[in-house]
Amino acid sequence: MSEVLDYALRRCVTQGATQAEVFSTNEIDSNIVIEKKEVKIGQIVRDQGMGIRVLVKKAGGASTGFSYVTDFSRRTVADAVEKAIGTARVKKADKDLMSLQVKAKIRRAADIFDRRVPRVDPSDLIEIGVSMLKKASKNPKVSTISGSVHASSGETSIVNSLGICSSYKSTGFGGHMYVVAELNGSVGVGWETHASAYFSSDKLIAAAADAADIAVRQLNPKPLEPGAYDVVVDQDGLADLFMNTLVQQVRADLVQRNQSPLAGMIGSEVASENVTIADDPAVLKALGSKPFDSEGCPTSSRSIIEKGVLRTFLHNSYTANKQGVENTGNSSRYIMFGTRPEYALEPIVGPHNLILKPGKGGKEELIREVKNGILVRGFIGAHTSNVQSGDFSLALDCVFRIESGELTFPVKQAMIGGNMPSILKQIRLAAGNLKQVPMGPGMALISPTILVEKVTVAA
Amino acid sequence: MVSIRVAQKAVRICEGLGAEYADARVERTYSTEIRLMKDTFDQVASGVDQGLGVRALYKGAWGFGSSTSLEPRDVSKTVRGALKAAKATAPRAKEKVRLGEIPAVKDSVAAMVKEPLQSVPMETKMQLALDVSGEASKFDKRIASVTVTYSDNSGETYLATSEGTQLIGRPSRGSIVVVAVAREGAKVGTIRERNGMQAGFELFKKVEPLGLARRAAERAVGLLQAAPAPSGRFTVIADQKLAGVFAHEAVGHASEADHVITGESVLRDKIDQRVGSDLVTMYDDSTYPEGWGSSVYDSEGVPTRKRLIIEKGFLKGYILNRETAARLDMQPNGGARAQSFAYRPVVRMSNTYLLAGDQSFEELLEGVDSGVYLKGSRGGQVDTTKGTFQFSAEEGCLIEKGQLTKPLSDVSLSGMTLETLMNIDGIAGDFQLSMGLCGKAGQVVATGMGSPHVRIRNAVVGGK
Repeated sequence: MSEVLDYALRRCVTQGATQAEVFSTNEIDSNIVIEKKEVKIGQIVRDQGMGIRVLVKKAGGASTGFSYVTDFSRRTVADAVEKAIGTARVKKADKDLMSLQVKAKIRRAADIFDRRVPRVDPSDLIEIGVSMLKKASKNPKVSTISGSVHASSGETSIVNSLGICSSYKSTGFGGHMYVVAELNGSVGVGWETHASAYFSSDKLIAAAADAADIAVRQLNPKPLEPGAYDVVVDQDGLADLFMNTLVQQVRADLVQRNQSPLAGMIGSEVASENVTIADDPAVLKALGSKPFDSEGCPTSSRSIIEKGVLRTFLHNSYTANKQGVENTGNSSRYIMFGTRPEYALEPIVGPHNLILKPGKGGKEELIREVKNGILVRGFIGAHTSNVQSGDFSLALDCVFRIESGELTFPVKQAMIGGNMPSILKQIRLAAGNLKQVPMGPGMALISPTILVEKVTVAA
Repeated sequence: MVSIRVAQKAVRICEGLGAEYADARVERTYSTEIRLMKDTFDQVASGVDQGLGVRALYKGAWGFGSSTSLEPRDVSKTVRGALKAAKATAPRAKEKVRLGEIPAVKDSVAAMVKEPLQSVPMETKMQLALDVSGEASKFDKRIASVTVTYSDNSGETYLATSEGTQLIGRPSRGSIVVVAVAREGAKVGTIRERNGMQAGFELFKKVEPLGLARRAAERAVGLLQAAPAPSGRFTVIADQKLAGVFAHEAVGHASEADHVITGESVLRDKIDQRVGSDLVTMYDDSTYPEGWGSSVYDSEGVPTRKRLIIEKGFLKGYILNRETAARLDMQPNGGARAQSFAYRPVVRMSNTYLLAGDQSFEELLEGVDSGVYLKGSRGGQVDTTKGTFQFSAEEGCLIEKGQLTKPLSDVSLSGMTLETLMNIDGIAGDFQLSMGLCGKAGQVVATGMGSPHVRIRNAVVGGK
């Protein structure tokens, strides 16, 4: 494997690249699909590929060129190198593009490789799926169950012409359960997810039971009076909203282009003092943990918002060089819609594990604090948010009414409109129930359930 | 190298290991993706995706395996993995999978290509993106940013099945997306225009990219004059794009047979029942000439067709793959699609549209005393189980006494799918099919969505 990466790298340099980088992932993902209260299909997907990036110096600056392949034959790789260099030659010189990532000492990573995971067989996943189904179908009102279980293991490697040559292994395990309950023509829907770098079938099976419980409790919903409510938001919903707003707003590349409402706000109060958000690449068993980023820069922990004050933006090598600041090690490869392997994309900027500082107590205790509010599990339409203005309009998913600290009834239909970061100022409390939710390849939100005050809810 | 022989070999190994049915897809795809933000290239990537996907049916249970490596050792591992997965699933499968019968076919299908995408230099494609961006930027000084995405892909696909089907494909498609953002003080207006075709590089003349750029810019600037929309129940006129999104998202997904079977569809058990007003006729049509979502065969090798979903308000059919067709005792109709070799085929739409009526847009307007005209779509989401939907329109306009009066922004349409279909009381003749990308089961495929202008009574409009 490393031999073909070296070949690609050497070829880039001999063909005229000033600098070059080869990023590669090699992954096996086993998964099962659950449909109609039944384990339907087992799948094993092997995916390996390499992304080749070159930097060509020219008058007035430099340009990059990029190309990727999943076919590692010398001929295809040589063609790809030629295409990448060709692109770099025709691009207009960028005066701010100075160098690819320089070599730096990489510390040992947090444990993100669980030796049990590569040994997981489709039959093991099926047994887990069957246990999930058993848990979820206990209640006779449950009419339909679908879901998934997956286990993946892989290796991420990077080499560049500035001496970087590193790799790490990681694993992932998780799944979801979607349950429909029916009673006298009323339909209730509930879901729950679990994800971790480590194998933990118990948590996934427990999630299945929770999904069924929620579905049954969602039966016979009532309409909600439009008005201002305290809104308790669970982690999955928060991850979806953050990924489509806040995560994009703290990207230095977008800030530098003036496409973030947070531009120029470092040192300013952007959230209530209850809000502290960090990016930490060294969390045990977390899906966003990694020793180096997608350009080979060592990762490290950063405070993004501290007690409401914006502390830093996230940088990769380009944005850091451009601004003459330290690279935060947040080069990341992803797209916002659909799925694309990391090797098929040029690096942009993204967090590792975004951590919203928890408070004390469980979710129930948080709910007890609410006199007049709703509990929201998820959002529908977060991807339609406008990153640049921060405006969002969301339909609420799995909503319960909270009256005087008690969940009283499921809510039929509700919507909220708002703005990120403005809404951060309305966050009053956080529970202590941390959960990690994946936000993209190598990105997770680790957060508690939170309480947002006085949100206008339309029904 | 990729060839039909690799696919056939994979199928033979499967059969040798005891599979009662197997199919294999082998592909090699060359792609270009260019994303330009203002005058900076965010992404200029050329890629080669190559690989194999194998499906094995064993004692009524599916297993699937895929691999980007076609080394003989990896092909063998992938096939064995698919079978292992099927064998592990089989003892747990209560309902055995049966496949609707289809004739075996041997055929070769190529996109109509004048100028092969791979023969066009990257520089030309990058210049096209720059031209489009420049056209939108110069439209008005209030255009604050323009993002242009150019995509193309072409290559070879091979499908072999244990029933003797052998299909060779030479797909070729390209698209261009322009997002224009206009800004004046604190007001921001964002509009997306896009178009794509299945053809060679010549398609980028036919889709009129500069026209898309101007339209995006013009509409974005128009939004700066728009006021927030009112909330409440109104008579709504939806334009071709928004009504097309409704047809696709709210009705199309509910007509996918896998959702029907799992109970996750509001259209289950409703064949031959009234689900909409007399004016509503809807198709999912893989044969639509030059349609973005058209194909001659589906990913299971089934010849595709024009599928009647709703006829004059009555539900007439579902979109089926072979498995769901057998389960519902219907004829397979070619509705199985996979994003690529790396994914199993699932029930998907092709080009989904509401059939044109004979009214004019003005006639639709005349009947509205107080209403809202909604244009374009920023996306949205649907619960097919409950039959509820919510879409954000790109722009809107107040309708007062049959006249378009005040431009509106931040306006959404939500409601119950069946109630909305019943409340359609006007359909214009100005049909348009537009390009879409549809996500389901973690896979994105090209789909067309279409409609004429449609009038809906008593619809829920949400403002900001």
